[in-house]
Amino acid sequence: MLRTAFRVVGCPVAVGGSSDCLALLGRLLAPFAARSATLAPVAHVGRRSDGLYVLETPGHCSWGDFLTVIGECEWWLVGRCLAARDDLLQLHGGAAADRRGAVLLPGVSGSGKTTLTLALLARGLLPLADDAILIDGAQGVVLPFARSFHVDGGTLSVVERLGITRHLLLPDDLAPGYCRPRRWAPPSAPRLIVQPTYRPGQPLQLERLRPAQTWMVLAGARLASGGAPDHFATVARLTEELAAYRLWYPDAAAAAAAIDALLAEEGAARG
Amino acid sequence: MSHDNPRSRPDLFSQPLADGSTVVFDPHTGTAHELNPVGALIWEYCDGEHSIEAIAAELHECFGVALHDGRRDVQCFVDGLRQLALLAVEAVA
Repeated sequence: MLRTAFRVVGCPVAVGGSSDCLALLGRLLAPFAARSATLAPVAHVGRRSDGLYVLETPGHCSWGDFLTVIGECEWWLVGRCLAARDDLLQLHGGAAADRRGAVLLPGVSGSGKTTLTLALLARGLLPLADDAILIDGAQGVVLPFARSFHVDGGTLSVVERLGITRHLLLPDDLAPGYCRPRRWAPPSAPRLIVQPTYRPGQPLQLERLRPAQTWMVLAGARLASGGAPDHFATVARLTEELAAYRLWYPDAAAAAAAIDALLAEEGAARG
Repeated sequence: MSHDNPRSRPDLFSQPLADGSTVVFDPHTGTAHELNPVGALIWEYCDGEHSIEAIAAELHECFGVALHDGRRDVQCFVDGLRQLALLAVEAVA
């Protein structure tokens, strides 16, 4: 049986299966490709006799169409590696950075954080994360996490409208519903927190968060509870050091401009 | 220590913040509560060692709240904490 290996956030993981499955997984997880001749696969993915695809992991088995199963397998492999890194504070959200530092966009699914992260690329920022922000509390930096972006039709239309497809994203060779930026930001100091909410038809609105609100936003966005005491210390430090806002926006380009202006303000305030 | 003295649940996580407020987080339910600076002070003294009277005296000392008003406010706040299940429940012998 074929197998392929990856190293995600420093954790090695291998998957076995049929060539079509491994080929797409290999493209989705290309930045994490690793050579490992000995690592035993922890998951298997392949085609059943009835035409459906199946994912088998320890204690779990699921099946469905090709893209659904590959998407599930990709997340399972990534999730397994993230779970092993409880030294990192992991937040559900997007993030992007430039020389001024990183803006964190904690938010639940559907809040528009992917769209907003992509819109920030159009303003010259580089991405750090799409849906899992990795913060090294000891070093005080946000780490780049080069996982493919999950994009729906609405996000893709915004991407096309912003004209960032060609020069900022890789050619569309992944799969429907995925895209990947060409370049990623280096580890960056966090400078700003913006919790976005997409609100069509309403004016853009920014609200500065009180420290307790900031703490709750960050604590509520944690992806895992491991290493909790250290993570709460990091959450408290971020709350103390960073300006935080809630942003309701009807238009990604205008929201990105507002975030850009906030980053400039923060830079000016810090001298 | 009296069993009547309010005492915060030991399994809760509380984080004092720079503006004097405190966040109290219940890891079992995932809920968080924001306490303003006065509430944060009362919370700090919900250690089982301080009575309502003693906490009201601290409130008087720190915020200049009249003792009579302080007793009422502390009692009201502690009742709220109890309703939110943020205080330890003493076993009845």
